[in-house]
Amino acid sequence: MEDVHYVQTAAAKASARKKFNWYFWGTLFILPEIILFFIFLWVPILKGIFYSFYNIDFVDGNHFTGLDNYISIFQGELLLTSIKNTLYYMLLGVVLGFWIPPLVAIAVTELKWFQGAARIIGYLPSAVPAIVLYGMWMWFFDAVGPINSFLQTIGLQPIEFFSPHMSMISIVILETWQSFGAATLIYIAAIVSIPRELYEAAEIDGASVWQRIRHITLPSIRTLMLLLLLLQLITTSQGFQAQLSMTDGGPNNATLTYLLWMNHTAFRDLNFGKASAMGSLMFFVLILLSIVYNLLQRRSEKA
Amino acid sequence: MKGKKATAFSTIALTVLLTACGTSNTTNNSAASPSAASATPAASASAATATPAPAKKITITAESFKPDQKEKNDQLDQRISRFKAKNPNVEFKKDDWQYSPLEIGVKMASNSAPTEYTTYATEGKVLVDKKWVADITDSMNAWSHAQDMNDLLSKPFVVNGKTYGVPIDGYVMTITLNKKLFAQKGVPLPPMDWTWDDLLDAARKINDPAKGIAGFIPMGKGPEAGWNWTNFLYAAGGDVQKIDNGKVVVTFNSDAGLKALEFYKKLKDENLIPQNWALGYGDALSAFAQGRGAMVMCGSGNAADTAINEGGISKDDLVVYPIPSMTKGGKHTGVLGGNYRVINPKADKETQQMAFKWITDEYFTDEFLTSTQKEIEDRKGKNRVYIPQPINYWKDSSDFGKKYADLLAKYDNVFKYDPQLLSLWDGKPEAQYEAQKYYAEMANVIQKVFTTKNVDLKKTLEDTSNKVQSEVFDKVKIE
Amino acid sequence: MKPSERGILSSYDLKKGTVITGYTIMVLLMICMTLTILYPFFNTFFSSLKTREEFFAFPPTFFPKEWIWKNYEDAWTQFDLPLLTFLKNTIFIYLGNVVFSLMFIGLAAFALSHLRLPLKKWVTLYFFSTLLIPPATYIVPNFLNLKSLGLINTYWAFWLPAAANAYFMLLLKNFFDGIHKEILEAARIDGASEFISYMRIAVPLSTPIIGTLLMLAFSTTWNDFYWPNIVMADKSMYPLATGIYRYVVYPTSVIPWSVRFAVLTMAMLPPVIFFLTFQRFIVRGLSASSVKG
Repeated sequence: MEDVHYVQTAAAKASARKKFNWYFWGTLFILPEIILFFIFLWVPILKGIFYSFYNIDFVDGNHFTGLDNYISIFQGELLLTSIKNTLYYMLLGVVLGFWIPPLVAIAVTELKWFQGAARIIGYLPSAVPAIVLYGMWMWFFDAVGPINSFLQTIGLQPIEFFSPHMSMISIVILETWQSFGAATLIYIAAIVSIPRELYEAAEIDGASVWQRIRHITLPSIRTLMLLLLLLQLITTSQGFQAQLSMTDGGPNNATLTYLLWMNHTAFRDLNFGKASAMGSLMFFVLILLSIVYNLLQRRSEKA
Repeated sequence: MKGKKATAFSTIALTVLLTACGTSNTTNNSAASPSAASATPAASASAATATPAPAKKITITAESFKPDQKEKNDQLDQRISRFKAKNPNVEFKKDDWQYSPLEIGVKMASNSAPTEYTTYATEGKVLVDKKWVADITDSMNAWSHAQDMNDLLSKPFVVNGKTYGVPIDGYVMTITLNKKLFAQKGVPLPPMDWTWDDLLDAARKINDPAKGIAGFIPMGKGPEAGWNWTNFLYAAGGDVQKIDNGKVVVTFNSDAGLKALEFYKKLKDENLIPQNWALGYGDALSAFAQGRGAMVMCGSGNAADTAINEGGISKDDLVVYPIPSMTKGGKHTGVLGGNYRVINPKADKETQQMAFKWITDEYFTDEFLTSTQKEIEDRKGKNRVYIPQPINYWKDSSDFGKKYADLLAKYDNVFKYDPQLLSLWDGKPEAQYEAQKYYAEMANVIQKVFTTKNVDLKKTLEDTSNKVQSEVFDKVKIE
Repeated sequence: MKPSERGILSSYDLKKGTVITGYTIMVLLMICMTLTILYPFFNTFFSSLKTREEFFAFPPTFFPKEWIWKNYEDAWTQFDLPLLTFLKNTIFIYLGNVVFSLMFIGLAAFALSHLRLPLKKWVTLYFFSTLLIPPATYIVPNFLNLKSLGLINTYWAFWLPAAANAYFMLLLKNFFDGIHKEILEAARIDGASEFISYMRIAVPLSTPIIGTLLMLAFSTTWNDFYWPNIVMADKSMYPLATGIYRYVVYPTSVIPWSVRFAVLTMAMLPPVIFFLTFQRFIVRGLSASSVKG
């Protein structure tokens, strides 16, 4: 009897020590990052939020203006316009651009020749300097440029790429072309880790190619797809670079995203306080949304 | 166990602290170390004031040129040594940062702008409002050549009777024509005192959308679109704003404004502008340099500079016209612009005064003429054309002005402006208050005009002017 | 076909008609995509060989009439551009970035994935909520922060903040999650410390994603010109992208456009070479589930 009891306490002690070990190592591993994030991200972020309550003046010093900056965001109609445009941009990004990387990744991993080079083909646009890409796309979208010339040769109407309706779509096409490579690489890394035995077994069981993709490949990358979808939504919600260089928010604010408006406020109107308020506002709203999402998830789990 | 964690933590903290301490020591001994180019002029000046020398040591960070402009940098070095010979207590550092409205904010925030730099007329009011340029009224008044300066250029940097910048040169906005395109289509050049209708006429004849060639290239993207359009507002006799009882009131929603908008609408309806309306400053000039447009609007020599020196269009194929008048015999009013030298207000008083001296030291001297000459020769050697500014800091009628004109006449790679141009044009300064915001709003209007078929011009103009009034002009406090 | 060569498709599949057609269409589409992606490279290269005038010709010519190789010589000698210094700076910044970021982010991602942490939910929130705020909001405070830490004009201004990258952490954590706990359990039972488990098991199994992150980090560092422009004060410290931004493509430059494009062509080569060599890390065949039964 006593032996069993002794073994049990020893086992309990061992598992307690193991747990403590886990906690210890866990904390140790994560500590450097916590410090780095604090110094290089959270301090500037908090300062940035802090600035949003001030009128920033680099010569005379800042003075406190309370919620003035925030109130001025809600005046005028640019807030609604920019939010609408940003949401539209995010939607287009998902509809036009989200499904390309997984498809290309699957295609690339099946290539028998030149697979090495093909893996990085999608990523090559990131090696091209921005100024070259800018000139290239201005030419592509030009009224007498290659795309329109091609359309005219096959008898179709030329497209006006920078009309109020098409501008955002043109920008999304541009963005997708330029950035699908990164996501493709990540998908390739995941797909490449899928054990071949699964495919063999499925093939032996008589599954067709499409069934294999549907039942093996896609489920394996499901969590990754969700993650990349989330990251894409976060990135596109903050998008402004292409809008800035191609159309500068035009025509008539059709491509003015929230971040582009913030950029204008900071660097054109030179109102850094208001710009900080805009960034902080976005931050608060997104945090709120994620809290609400979390609560809803918990409620549905309980139900 | 705990010890390990604590040691790890403190090692990291210590490293960070040491780095901070170590480098801050170097910043204090800024005068000597080369890495302290990031040190602020104020810091170095105050470090210098600590030394008990008879003549106070002053450090000026002067604006230099980018490495590809070797000739200009050589000239600058020579100028520095000449200045130092006269003022031995001044040390020079060089910074090749070029003014950019997007970067000036960050530069001021981080206190890393040079002691003196060049900026443009448009920036005048903004910089003064933000107190990012030093008040140099006293230095200006004490300067012997103050009376010799060309009055046309002073306005943008004189606010409430105080001077904030030293003019370098200036221009009135003009329209540059590509004679080759005219000749190719067999269209005669309009007369220099042309009208809006003359412009439309010429554009119609040269326009060739199938080939991607436009009659006229107005800028359509960004605030420069509003800047371009304002020329036509002015030519129609209109104005952007007026001061009424201490308030800023919009005036561009006048009849003149409407006429100018109608003109733009006509350009679009008859398809006389490039099909891609989204042309910013660089895009418009590039398109012109490519020969995709017969006429482009910008500061006097700039389109020619790009077209000739970048694009390889011969200087004889270009001619600069004033903004057309609305009716025959009317005024050819265009927006006035120019380059100005300003001083960083974060530098201390003595440094500011010395910087003013540095800026104006070779104004009205033969050294200035010599360096201009060297630049022309350098360009000739590189097979490039020298494009002088039409308005300069001196008065053309003065002796100095005559010497300059003689110098230019000696060389064949100097772009010449038609004398009729100089007599016809009428320079009007930009709006004093919130010009940039007005330009940005007008850009939206212009884009609407360029992209919407049946746009109600009057209503759009009214809506925009109301918006600008309530959201921008009403917030201006006039001191 | 050896078993290690197959993926979704095996050699048997490729004997079927429908599969062959589908496969051919796929290959054709990939070729089209490749051509559009290669276009800017060829365009830049050919433009760099044009004369000043031909660069602006309209309609634009694809192949230069004459191949002016002198443009490359000019790019190196004529304009006082210390291109090699810029290159060295970029490489230094990159090496430091990956060493620091992978070292610290790797450990943290592993901890989030397989170890125990106090207040884990809050720690996770602490890291990932930083993605929700646009970086432009804190550019100026970030700079002032670095200034007060004395890190301005040093490489540390890049290396240390590079480790504070929530994206990479998320991706690494995701991959570590895919490693079955049983493997690590087995290692633990055998007496391996957590650190050894990390280095000998988790890292090798994640070579594909680590290789990918190395590539992503490379192109971000290679193309970043704005931040170094603010943080580095000396010309001798600029990375290549900033050097090009400030000295080659700036508005009033007197460098002819074809020479500018020569510089740009040269700037495009290292990333491409890097990518081609590095994609070998993303190797097929590493099985993350070597647990029987």
